[in-house]
Amino acid sequence: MQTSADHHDYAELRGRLLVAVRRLAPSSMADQVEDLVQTGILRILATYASDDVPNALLYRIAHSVVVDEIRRSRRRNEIGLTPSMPERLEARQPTPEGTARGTQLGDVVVDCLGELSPDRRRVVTLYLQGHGVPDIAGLLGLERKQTENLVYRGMKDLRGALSERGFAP
Amino acid sequence: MTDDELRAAFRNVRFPVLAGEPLAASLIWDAVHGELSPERTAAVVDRVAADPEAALSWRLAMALGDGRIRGR
Repeated sequence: MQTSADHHDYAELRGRLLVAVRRLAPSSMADQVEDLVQTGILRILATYASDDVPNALLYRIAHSVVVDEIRRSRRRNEIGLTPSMPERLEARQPTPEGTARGTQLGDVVVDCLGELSPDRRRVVTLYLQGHGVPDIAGLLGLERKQTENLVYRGMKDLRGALSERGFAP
Repeated sequence: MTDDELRAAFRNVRFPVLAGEPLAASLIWDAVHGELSPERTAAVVDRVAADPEAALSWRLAMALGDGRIRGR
């Protein structure tokens, strides 16, 4: 009898997960990507291999399982070395020379996002995540022109806030 | 600083110490794929702006979805 495990191409799913996590995760996770994805695939197989799971749902499940694995791994302190808040704040201070393009730039970007008005912060967050204007407008229920303006003004605000912290263009 | 450099920086935020309840992966998936109201999506995006783990979960949902925003 053919099971859904035969229908689904788990090798393809594993490959797609590996590419996505490698490309999108912070560099601090690089050493753990293979294990995270492999553990996630094994959990999916153990739970759903005998069920008739539509492919679209399988990717939703895979997303949930991989995110859960990342959280589990963080709890085990295996990834994302978690500096204390004082360490993080110290690391965020720009050097006297103003070298702003280090790995701490991302932390400062998050701080600066918090200073934007809510509507600008949301569109800029989605823009930084890789969405285009049409997607952002659709997700937030905005007009396209309004969204363009919010992205433009929000990115300008973000650069201004970065500049105030010594992270000049 | 180019848009791409800022995107790369946002992707490389270090995870802070775990605190509080994480955002459900299913909620993020639904938000990414346009299955929540704009108001609920805005609430999820507010978390994504401040929480690197939620931001990573969002990016993974984008990468694993079919690329279409449904429901609008």
